[in-house]
Amino acid sequence: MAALSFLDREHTVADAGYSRWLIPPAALAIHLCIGQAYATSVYKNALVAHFDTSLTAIGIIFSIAIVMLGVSAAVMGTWVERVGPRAAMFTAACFWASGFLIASLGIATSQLWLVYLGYGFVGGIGLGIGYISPVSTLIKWFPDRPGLATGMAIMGFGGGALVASPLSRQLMSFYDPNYDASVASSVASGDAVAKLFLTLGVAYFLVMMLGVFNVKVPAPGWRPAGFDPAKVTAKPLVTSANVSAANAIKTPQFWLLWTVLFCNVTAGIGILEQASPMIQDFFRDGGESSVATTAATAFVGLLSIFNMAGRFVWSSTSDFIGRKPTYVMYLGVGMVLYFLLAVAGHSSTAVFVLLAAVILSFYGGGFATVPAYLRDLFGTYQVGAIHGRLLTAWSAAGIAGPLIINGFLDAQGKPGELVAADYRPALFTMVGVLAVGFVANLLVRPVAARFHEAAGHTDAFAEAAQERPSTDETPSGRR
Amino acid sequence: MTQPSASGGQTARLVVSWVIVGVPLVYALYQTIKSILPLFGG
Repeated sequence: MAALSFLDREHTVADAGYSRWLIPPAALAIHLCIGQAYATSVYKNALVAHFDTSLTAIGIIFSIAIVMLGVSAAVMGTWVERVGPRAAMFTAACFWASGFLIASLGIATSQLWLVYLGYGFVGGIGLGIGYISPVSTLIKWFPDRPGLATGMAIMGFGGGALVASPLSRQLMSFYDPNYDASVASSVASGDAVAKLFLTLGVAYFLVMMLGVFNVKVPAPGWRPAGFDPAKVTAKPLVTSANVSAANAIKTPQFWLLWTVLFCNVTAGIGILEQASPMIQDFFRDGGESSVATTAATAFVGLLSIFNMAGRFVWSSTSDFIGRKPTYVMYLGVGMVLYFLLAVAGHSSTAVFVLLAAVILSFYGGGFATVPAYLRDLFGTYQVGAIHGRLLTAWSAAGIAGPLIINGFLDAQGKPGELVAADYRPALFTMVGVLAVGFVANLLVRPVAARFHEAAGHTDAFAEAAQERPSTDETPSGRR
Repeated sequence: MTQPSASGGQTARLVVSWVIVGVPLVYALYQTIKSILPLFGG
């Protein structure tokens, strides 16, 4: 289709002189938009009131979206590698924006199933494709600093929620003059949330188009000035070979990394999910907490900043100290921090906040560093698709983390009556979970040569273009 | 093949692209830091 010719390979391969520093903002444009998925709490109460239903029924919207993220990233990964980043980002933008528009219609017509279908199912597919779409391109443009490059993009996912939360509150105030964002009990009308979804759908589509039009893949043979590939592959565990996504899942290395990511995310989600009541419970004496509700909410915001910053800082650091030592730090130091949180977290709010903030920075760092770890082990050939398959660990951890923490807390007492000691069994369990991940990381070795692709299989996108009938040598000439 | 220096047009494109993603991030950080002041007694 001529209107979509900008998605063709001929428009996606960079000319000589194209700045690689245009690629991180392209990736950020996608991740800042899809990161909105973690800001659903802003309008959750409004949807409960509008649909006259339970928090659980509204929570299902988010659950469907996260499940679809994992499923679509895993299933569509090789397709993303084949069609290239521009077509993948455009598809993600269409799904993500359509999800908002369908959900907006569902809210406006009071049909919750349309919100499930729109934001959850359709939007969730956009989430998965969007999340992995820039990964392999960033790694190809930044062979010298893959951790920095993917850290910048995945930092955007953390930043997306930080942007969407205040923006959504302000938009709902604009659409519903009776809604006061500064009053915790104030709830926006369904009409305001429907208009919010409509606005976000259009705005996110436009911002994601910035990514679509800026993203390009480097020409074959391109390398940054002064870059010597031999220096990178001389580092421990960094391969110059390539492994396909189909073969990668047959290697122990993939499943060891799956375990590493699962354990790191499970432990982090345990704190993130419970952050606000947790800080109040840790400083409860005689039934009353010395931490006010507003301060507890602020604590969640502080953790979000550390979560975002950790993605960039630690992933960039991994370019210098290596991926395996970086995960030794996330998981090993993480174990010490969880232990200290359990036994000394109640000593002062400063100690509690500091420990939790560093833990959350490791949580974010774990997400951002894993694409570069995959590149080190499996090469660049289908690293985006392998990353997509690995993200199923995230979906699994999203179930396990809250189950562990809520299961232990339910056994200890009722919400609002818990104290610091009630958290110890859950926190000690998280130390054990991190220990499993720590051992899994130590067991990672280079991938066996039998899984390597034959020489020449280095670029799935270029190979797919060679397999397709050429679009620029049609009888009528160039399009 | 290595990377030649950016042209004037590309520099403008770089600035615009980074501003489009940078402004929302700065806005988000400002809003979040404003909201966490109560934690430190602000």
